[in-house]
Order: sequence, then structure tokens, then C-alpha cells
Amino acid sequence: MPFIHPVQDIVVDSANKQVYIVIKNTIVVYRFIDGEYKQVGKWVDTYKLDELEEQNKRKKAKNNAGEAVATTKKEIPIAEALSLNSNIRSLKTFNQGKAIVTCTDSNKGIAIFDVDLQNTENCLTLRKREQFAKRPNAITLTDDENVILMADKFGDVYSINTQGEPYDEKIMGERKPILGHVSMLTDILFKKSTSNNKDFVITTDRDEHIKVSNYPHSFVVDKWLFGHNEFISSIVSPEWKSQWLVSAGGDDSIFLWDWEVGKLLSTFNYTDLIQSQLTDKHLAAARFQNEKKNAIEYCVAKLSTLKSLPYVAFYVEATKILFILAVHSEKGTFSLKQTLDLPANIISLTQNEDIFSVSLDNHESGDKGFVKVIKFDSNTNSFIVDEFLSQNLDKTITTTLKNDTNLITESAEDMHPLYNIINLKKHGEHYS
Amino acid sequence: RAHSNPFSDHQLEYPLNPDAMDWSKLYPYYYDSDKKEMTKNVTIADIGCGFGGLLVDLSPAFPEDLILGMEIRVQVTNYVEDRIIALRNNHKAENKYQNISVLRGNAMKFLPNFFHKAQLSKMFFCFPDPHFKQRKHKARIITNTLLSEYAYVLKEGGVVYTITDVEDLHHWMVKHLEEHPLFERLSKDWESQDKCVTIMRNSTEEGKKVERKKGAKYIACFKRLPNPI
Repeated sequence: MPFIHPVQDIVVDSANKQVYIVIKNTIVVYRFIDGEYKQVGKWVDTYKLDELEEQNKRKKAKNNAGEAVATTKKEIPIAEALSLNSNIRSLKTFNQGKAIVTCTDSNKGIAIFDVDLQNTENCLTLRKREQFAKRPNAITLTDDENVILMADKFGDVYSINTQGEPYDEKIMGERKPILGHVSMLTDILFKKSTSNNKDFVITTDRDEHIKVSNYPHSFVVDKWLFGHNEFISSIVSPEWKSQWLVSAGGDDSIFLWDWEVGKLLSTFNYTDLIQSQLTDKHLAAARFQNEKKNAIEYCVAKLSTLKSLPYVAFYVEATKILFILAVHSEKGTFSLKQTLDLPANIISLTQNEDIFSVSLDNHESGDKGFVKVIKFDSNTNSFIVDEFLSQNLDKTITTTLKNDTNLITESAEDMHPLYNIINLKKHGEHYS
Repeated sequence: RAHSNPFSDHQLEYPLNPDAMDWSKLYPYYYDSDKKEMTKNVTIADIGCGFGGLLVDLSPAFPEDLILGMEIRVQVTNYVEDRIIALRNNHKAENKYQNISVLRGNAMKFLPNFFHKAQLSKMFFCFPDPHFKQRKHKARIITNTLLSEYAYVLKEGGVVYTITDVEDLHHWMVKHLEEHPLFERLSKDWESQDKCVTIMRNSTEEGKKVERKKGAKYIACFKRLPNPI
């Protein structure tokens, strides 16, 4: 049964009652109007598509005699070419919801859009796209929102103005990174120090490093936070305790730091909690397998925290459980608050205000169960799925996208790779 | 092998952080087994030390310093290890060559795992891999982003020494160090009076090879400036 491809990212902008979902190379915007979600915008990244169509056109060239000849080469199947290199990732809203920025794999670039909150036809206007040498992997904004800081897969961080014309290499010369690691960058945060009001950039990589650099003097490294034994996939720093940083990845613990002092406060080991959730999907790749062929590998895919409530949520890649930890804001310790057993594997986790949003792998359930919106319920003192909003969103996603051939998937094998963070794990493949 | 890819997923050993590093194995003479601590810390690093010629000549010139060579190629590291053991054995009576050692590692990735902030007073980059191709320039040992990490482990006033026989690479290193706000080039006068420059020019295996071929050697030295406020 064909089904609508899983939602790879969901960003809820509750202040403006907008929801952004990302599927493959498409951003769809929904707005809550008159008691239900309506589609108010859509953008399809056709960068590669345009290029391929151009190539296909060119092949119908003329021969030496100037006569039009039929192409002998097979046309590049556009859908196939698009499949791997057209992801959109790290969507973020800014300017009070009147703009978004996202990384587009198609051109190894970032794209900035204006969002017209009155427009119900298509609220997205592409303001500018900028292209880089290496694929962007994570983005953050400075507090004044004038600059986007982008961390790429080669280990460099670039700064991009949110306003103004796209960077022109012909005029301004080759872009220079503002800082870098000799390792793939996985996450980036902009932080203001609580003690002296100075700005910092925090970057994490595949080599267990969390680096704290000054900003804008990013050539002055302030410190490293040492403690991880495996790659880091995600960091968050809560607004309710800005000097703290939570990090996780290939290690079987979540780490809590005071990044300003440079001290590890505590860790939370989730090994026992996750064992029952591990399946064949978590078996290590063949070349890293042991003799018994039962080596498993798993990692935290994403962390998230709320604006005012002292909780941190995380999930392990290719599992259905959302873990919510309470953070003791005096002692600097974690305790397990709740585990939410969701109907399918979680494939993304984001936060807005005091709401968590997750998207799920719907390939078994078909055209439902795309997203869950999770709120804190003060009556029961626990986190609950907002079924009304979640189902309303699911219904709208189904009705608006069921005829979008670009987003319909024939089988699970045709889906974009949804579980590839574990590939960051190092195995010391090269001896010398 | 002449090359090793610094970006590869190597089988490497490195400490979790500088405090977790066991220096006693590398410099047993400077380990106080009663207090269970080192009596000295490494202050001079030769990044990409090759066959260890510079280490051997720096040893008597800086008897008060601990000097570490870092080398990414396994066989070359083993050779230098053996060479230092032999030197120590041959000079057992006077305890010479106890202040130099070598470890196999990727300095481009893991330098901060070994050294604390401002721990080093001198860093040497002698005849580094030129990585001629444009797209391989990030693999060069001197880049504007890596210089920030070298500046982190160097103390204020500390010195970066560079020497190469490849003119293009020399210009590249000079350009990047001059552009970096935390480094300032030292004068030719300073170079002519500095004993490390003399040692560096004459002691490394690469340097001697260039000498035999009557090739040019390009030297540039830079001082670590204070951080801006």
C-alpha cells in the first residue's frame, strides 16, 4: 500500500498557530484557523530538479548537421536522483515567526524565507539561498537574529547575515570559516554568559568534543567540555538555567554540564531503560559485527528542553519511547520523570515554548499517525499527548498531501534513510 | 608511508582529557612515585615529529623542559620510540634524553585532549605534508581554524616555529599565521638570535635531506599574542 512519506521534521510555532512539517524536499505550512489546521504554504526544493531537467533538455541536442536528434542516453530518473540528496533539515523560525531558515542538502546550502502570517495561499517567500562547499548540518541564530551560524559536515562554522544580499564569492572572495574542528560537526548553539554577558558559540563533533568559543572573537577558544566517549549528536541549553548544557549521542548516558564554569555536573544512564526497545534494527553493520553476530549499537538521536519547565526530553534512534527527565535546578541532577510509549518509532523531536513535538515513522500505520504534540498537564502533573491537536494535524496532513505524488512512497524500502545517526559511531577502521 | 589521512577514523589512543593523560610512561625519570605525580609538564611540542631528529637536538638544549613529539604514522612513531630508548640506555649514567618522548596521535583532532590551556611555550611544525591539491588544503596542519586551537594550548608569548622546503606552503603558512589575530610574526633579527631556529634548520631528517639536495629552506616564527578583551 502506498503511503505518505513520514514527516522528517516538525516545528510548531504556537505563538502564531503555525506548524511547519518537512518531508523529503518539501516544506508544508499549516495554520490553525477556525478550529482546524489548514495548509497555508508550501515550498518544494527543486534545485536538483531544475538542474536535471536542464541536463535532460540539453541531451536532445543537434547533430553536426544541425538536425535535432533524439537522445540516445537514458534520461536521468528525476525521482531517483532526488531521493538521497534532497533532504531539508534543521528548520528554525525567527523574527517572531515571520521568517524561517533551513538547511537544504540539494545545493549544500541554507535557505531563508519570509513568512507572511496573513497570507493563506502561500505564506512562504524565499528571501535568499546561499551555497557552501560542504553540506550544512546544523544551524543556530545569534541572540539579535542578525546572523545565522552554520556548522557543516567537514567541521567548519560559517556566519551568514539574515538580511541583505546572498554572499557573492566573486566580489567578496572565498568564504572563510569563523571556527572549525577537524571532525564532522553535529550541533551548534549560540549562548550568552550569565556571569559576564559575553557571547559564546558551542560546537559539537563526531570526536567527542564540545568546544566553547568566544563570539564574535571566535578565534579565542574558551574551553572544551571533556567527558564523552562517543560522538555527540545533540546539545541543548535551557532558558531556565542558561549556564547549563545537556549533551548526548553515542554514549549510554545523558550529560549535564555547567558550560560557563566548564564542569560536568551529572550524567543519566539510560542503558537499562532502553534494552527492551532494542530490535534487529539496532544490530551493528556487518563489518563491525562480532562472532556471535549479536552486537547492537544505539544512540540518542535528539535532545530537547522546554522554555520554562525544568524537563529534558530525548529518544534513542529507531525506538518508540520518548524519555522525559526532570532536572533538579539546584543540585544539577537528572531523574526520570516519565516515559511516553508512542505508537511508532520517533524520527524527530522539537520544542516550542512548553510544547514538545515529535514525528513518527508511519510506514506501518499508513496515512495516519504522523505527528504527536506533547504538553505538560498540570492537573495530572504529567506529560500527555494533545490528541486533539495531533489528530487534527494528522487529518490535515493526509487530506492535503494524499495526492502529492512526490511525497507518496510505495514501500518502506523507498523511504529516505530515517535512522542514520548511529553511522557516526567510530570503529577505528584505519590502523595506520 | 609518507602520508596519513588526518580525517580518517584511525585506531587511536588519546586521553579523555589532559588530566587523564598518564605522562609517567613517557617520562619515567620525571615521575615522583611517592607523590604519584609528574615533577614537570610538557612545554614543547613537535607536531609531526617525523624521525625525531629535532627532539634529539632539542633535548640537551632545553634540559629543563619536557619535549613531546607527536606523529600520526605508526611505524615512524615506533622508530622514534626505539631511538629514544636507545639514547636513554646509552646515556644512562648522566640521565640524558629523559626529557624527550614521542606518541602516536592525530594532533589536528586531539591536541586539546593532551594539553591544558596555555601549557606550551613552543610548538614546532617542521616540513609538514604540503597537501598540494587545492581541495586538500584543509588537511594542512596550518589553517585559520586550527591556529585557534594551537593558540589555546600556547601560553602568551609562546612561539610557533615553521620550516618547509616548499615555497608555496611557506607562503600559505605565513599568510594564515599573519592573518590570525592571536599571532604576530617575529623578525629576521629575532630568528638569527634564536637557538631553536638554528637547531630546526639543521637537525631534522627532512632538513638534512634538503641540505644534501642544496634546496631552499623557508623559516617563519610567530609569537602568541594576548587574547583581545
